[in-house]
Amino acid sequence: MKTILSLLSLLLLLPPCRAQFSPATDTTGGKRGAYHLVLTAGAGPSRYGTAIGIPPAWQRTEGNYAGTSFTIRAMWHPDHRFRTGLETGLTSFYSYKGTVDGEVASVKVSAIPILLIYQMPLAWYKGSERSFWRRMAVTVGTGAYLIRSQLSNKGIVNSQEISAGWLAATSYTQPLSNSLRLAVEARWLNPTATQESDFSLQAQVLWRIFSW
Amino acid sequence: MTRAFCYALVGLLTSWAVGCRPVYEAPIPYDSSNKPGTGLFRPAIRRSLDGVYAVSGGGGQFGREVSLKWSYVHDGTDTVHAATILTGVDAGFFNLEINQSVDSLRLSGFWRTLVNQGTGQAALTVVRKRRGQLLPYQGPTLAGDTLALRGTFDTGTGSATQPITLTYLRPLNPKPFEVIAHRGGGRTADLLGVSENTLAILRRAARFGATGVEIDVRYTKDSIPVLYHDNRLNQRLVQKNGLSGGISDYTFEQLQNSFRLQYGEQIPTLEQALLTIVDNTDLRFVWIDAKFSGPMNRVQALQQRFNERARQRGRQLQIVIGLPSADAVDAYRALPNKANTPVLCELNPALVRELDASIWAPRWTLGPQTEEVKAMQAEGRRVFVWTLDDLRFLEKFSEQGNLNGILSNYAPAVAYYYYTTH
Repeated sequence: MKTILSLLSLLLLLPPCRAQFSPATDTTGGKRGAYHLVLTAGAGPSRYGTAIGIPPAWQRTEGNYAGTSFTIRAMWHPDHRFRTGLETGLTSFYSYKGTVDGEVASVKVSAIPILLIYQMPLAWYKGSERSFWRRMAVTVGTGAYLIRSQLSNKGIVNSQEISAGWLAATSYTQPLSNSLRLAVEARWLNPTATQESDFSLQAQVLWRIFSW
Repeated sequence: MTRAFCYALVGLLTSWAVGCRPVYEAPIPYDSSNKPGTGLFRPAIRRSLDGVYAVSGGGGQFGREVSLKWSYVHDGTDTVHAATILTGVDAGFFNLEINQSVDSLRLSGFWRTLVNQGTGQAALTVVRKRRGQLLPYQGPTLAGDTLALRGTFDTGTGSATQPITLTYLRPLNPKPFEVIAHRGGGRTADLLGVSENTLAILRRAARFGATGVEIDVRYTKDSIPVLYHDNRLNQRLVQKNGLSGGISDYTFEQLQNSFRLQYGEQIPTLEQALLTIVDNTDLRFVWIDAKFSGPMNRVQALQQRFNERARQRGRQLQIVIGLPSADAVDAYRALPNKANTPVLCELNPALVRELDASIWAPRWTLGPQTEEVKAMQAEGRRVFVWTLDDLRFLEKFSEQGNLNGILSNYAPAVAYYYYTTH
């Protein structure tokens, strides 16, 4: 386990190291550029990617793996390429319904991520500041998921569970103006303790709200 | 291009390293028939077989000495008998059933170790030794011959070909002592084929060498006492269904409808559990661990009802309520009538005396506490320790010989040290 964690730490350090030694177009060389605080809001469809466990006592069951995903993210975009920030939101994972003793019953499961996010534009791999690759970015996140569930059977029970987990995403960002951008992001959410995974595709609006 | 390939490779390898978790699996290689009847194993023969045996063969994986103890499960008029052989190595044990399809005293089943993943099938025949010769045994008189069990086992290959012989040495240690199996008989994590804190594990507890069980009791939202260990409903204990929360968030009906334990069982009520113990098993001690918050009346009523039921049936069974916390002590204090409510206190000796608990049960990590143990026993109380799973300390505590019982997830190891003590 220690070996895996060490390997992961090294891999996380690899992109910034690469950025440090990028060609002359890299803004880390010479005069420092501006720092920005960027607020992102996104929404889109999602698909639950793991088996759901419908209780065997339930009959005429029907599972729904499709849902919606909403995200709010605050990111620090420095003058180099290694961005970091915080993310939260709401993703509906899945729901199922059926009958128990002749009565309709249902379960809904959703998650609120609370993640520390790292993001890196792919320009460190190929291309220049204004190229397609500069607009592509990979994002990873780690933190906690608040898994919320609701049982509706002989009354309603709302419960929640905290699960450690991570996120991996890739995005393309199209500039609209100096402070506004539009992005599309493919995301994979993975709360590990509760053995869930969810894929989503989001349209995002990025707003550079503050620079210094 | 080469660089892109390298990065993709690193990513794939990382995903593989993180994603490939080891699968811990020690399957039980033998489906118990649970067939009632004794075949040729009459009561006198079964009694004659209880004892400590010397081991020859087996390649050392079962140690030099083992102990054999019979247990049974009643179902109405049917009784299923099973022989448990406790090996003392890695909390190992054999579970053997009467093979009624042969015309000799033959036992078939499996062996397991709880500490690692050792398992395999085994078949043994009861014989008598006379001047080195092995002869058929019809028992129970031996006329100077020595009792032995001879047979074969495998190490998971499915072909029981390795020879083993057990030769009778002496009777089991007769000193009163309780071998208390944690969570009703064993943990779900130990892959025993049934979930912890279920009716199924209670029926098997004696097969692991237990003389008693500890069960964990919580209240549902509608105040039904049920068996469940953890604070939360989680995937360690229940099958995935998307739901979470605590037992007390759900009514009993909701739990029955929507939750299954890891091996598919329903969460049982305390009433069902005590009924199973009294009517179906030969266990003689029940430790109800009060993990609930709230009044103790319902648990007390069940304790009294089933203690009385056991007495009426001539069973030597004691049901006690364990007090693990200040909350549980307060709930006990709040009972309007404490008559016929034996309790076990896990807290300090002063509190044990104040509550007049019949048993003091300190955590084993507090050490031997020799003087306190002596003082408690001088006052007529018994002393148990919990939850002792470290085999080295288990051996030390057993050698010390001053305790009245040990609670463990490794009941076979506790039972081995108890029964083989001279």
